[in-house]
Amino acid sequence: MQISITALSKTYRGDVRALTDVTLELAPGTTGLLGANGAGKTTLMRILTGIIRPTTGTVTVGGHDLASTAGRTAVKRLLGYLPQELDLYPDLTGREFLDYVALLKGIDDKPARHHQIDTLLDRVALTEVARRRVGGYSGGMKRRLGIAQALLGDPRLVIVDEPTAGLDPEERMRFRSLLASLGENRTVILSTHILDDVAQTCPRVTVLAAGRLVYDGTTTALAGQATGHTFTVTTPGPPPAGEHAVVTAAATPTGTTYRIVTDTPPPGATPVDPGLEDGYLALMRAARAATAAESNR
Amino acid sequence: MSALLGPALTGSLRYEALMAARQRGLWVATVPLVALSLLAAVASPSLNGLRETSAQIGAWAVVINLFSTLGLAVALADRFARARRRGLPDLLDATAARPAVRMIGGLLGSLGAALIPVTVAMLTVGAGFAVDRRDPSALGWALLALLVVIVPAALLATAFAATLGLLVPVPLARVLVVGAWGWATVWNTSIIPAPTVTGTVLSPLGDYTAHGWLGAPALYAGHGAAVLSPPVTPTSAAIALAALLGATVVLLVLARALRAART
Repeated sequence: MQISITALSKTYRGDVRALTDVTLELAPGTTGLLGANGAGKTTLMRILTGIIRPTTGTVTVGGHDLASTAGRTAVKRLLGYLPQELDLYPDLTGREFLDYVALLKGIDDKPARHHQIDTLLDRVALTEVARRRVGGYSGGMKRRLGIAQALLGDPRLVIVDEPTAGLDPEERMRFRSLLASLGENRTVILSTHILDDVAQTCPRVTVLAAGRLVYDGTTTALAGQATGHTFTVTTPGPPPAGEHAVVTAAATPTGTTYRIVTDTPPPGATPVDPGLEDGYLALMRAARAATAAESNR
Repeated sequence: MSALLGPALTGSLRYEALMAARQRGLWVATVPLVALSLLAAVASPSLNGLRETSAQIGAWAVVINLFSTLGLAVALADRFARARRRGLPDLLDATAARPAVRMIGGLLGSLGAALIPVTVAMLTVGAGFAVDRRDPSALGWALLALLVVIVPAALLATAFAATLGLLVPVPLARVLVVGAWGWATVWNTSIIPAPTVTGTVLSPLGDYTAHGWLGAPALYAGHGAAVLSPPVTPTSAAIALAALLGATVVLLVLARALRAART
């Protein structure tokens, strides 16, 4: 399902600009949506789900224009959405909650609905606790139930906001493989702060900074943004002086080895191949520099 | 059921009823008040010994309504506010189900569960009079009284409480509902001379319908503010019923607007 976003802006009450002039094409497959807190990711996803309307600009999802009520309703019929925070009804069991959402999604046929629910409960490993009330679920179990509800109705467009937050490592790996399988025949948008999740599951990535689109391309090319700017340097303790961003710090027998992204490597720094984290940091540094230059003009 | 009502309304009715029924607070708020209202009706000399079975049951229905409906409105003041749990509004708004359908289904489903003890009480009253007076029509009168005296009042009171719960914190809404219920049903202007809808067609006490259609003695009906308090007749009873249903619709529209404004 193709998503076309043209000159999209969103300003909330109080003149709070969440998105500014975003133009973007999203093709079938899994796309990672990255950005700092407040970058506009959740606003973009809420617009794509038809929950809120843009201030200006146009959005079409699978040919449906989100400016019209009919268009929004049509998109909602094709959509599975997992919000960032989800406080589920504690008085329903997991199975009942899924049945409720399935009915709201218009899945009328009872045997088909129950079959889907059984399959999804199995897929997110909640079958054994399906008859337990959600109020007694752990954070990870609630998150998995949230993922299951997003997949009800076999949606052609899946939008998930921080889906692996609160999952333990094993659950996260299971979710990654689930997400990777989803992207084979539908459009999946994954918003996350966990770059590893993007590296593992998303061939393409979109990055927002301060409401503006700063990158749209392959995940590999995003890593390439830090080519020639990524170094390691070992010091006896504190990080080296200079203008750089520290990606990781690891204690070694000879001191602390810092992985840094910088335009001016400190003495003794060794160039290394960049990864996604390095590329993301390089991009963010460049975006901040551009914003600062723009505001100084 | 879903083929008849549509899956979204079916789901809202079914699962909101289930969630309400699983809330201990609902039963704590309603069952003692239903018991108290039955005790009050049994003990009141002015409510008993009426010749007509319909009048007798209508009079009991007004007393049961006075106490029980307050309990269920207080218990259900959180119905609209609880749908604002983190992330849930977005999740529900991202489904194709219309918000108005979800809201109506949520209110009716919760109310359906809350009305169980009241319905049991009214059917017990009907069965009791049917046996005592050897008049099987008592069961039909009890059902009619439930539908025209208690259900419209419960709809209005619950819609009011749940809408108030969107504007102020739910515990405060519960306190305000108690005051509003007293003001709208049994406010005595000779004791506290202040404007009230008690005694008018806008009062949810139900004595317009109980008196106009069932022949029960009128408690306040016809003694309220002049224009809104016509003499009690079957026609004015119909006006009172329509006024309650209309006010409920207005509150639901307001609640929908409040929710939409916060999206």
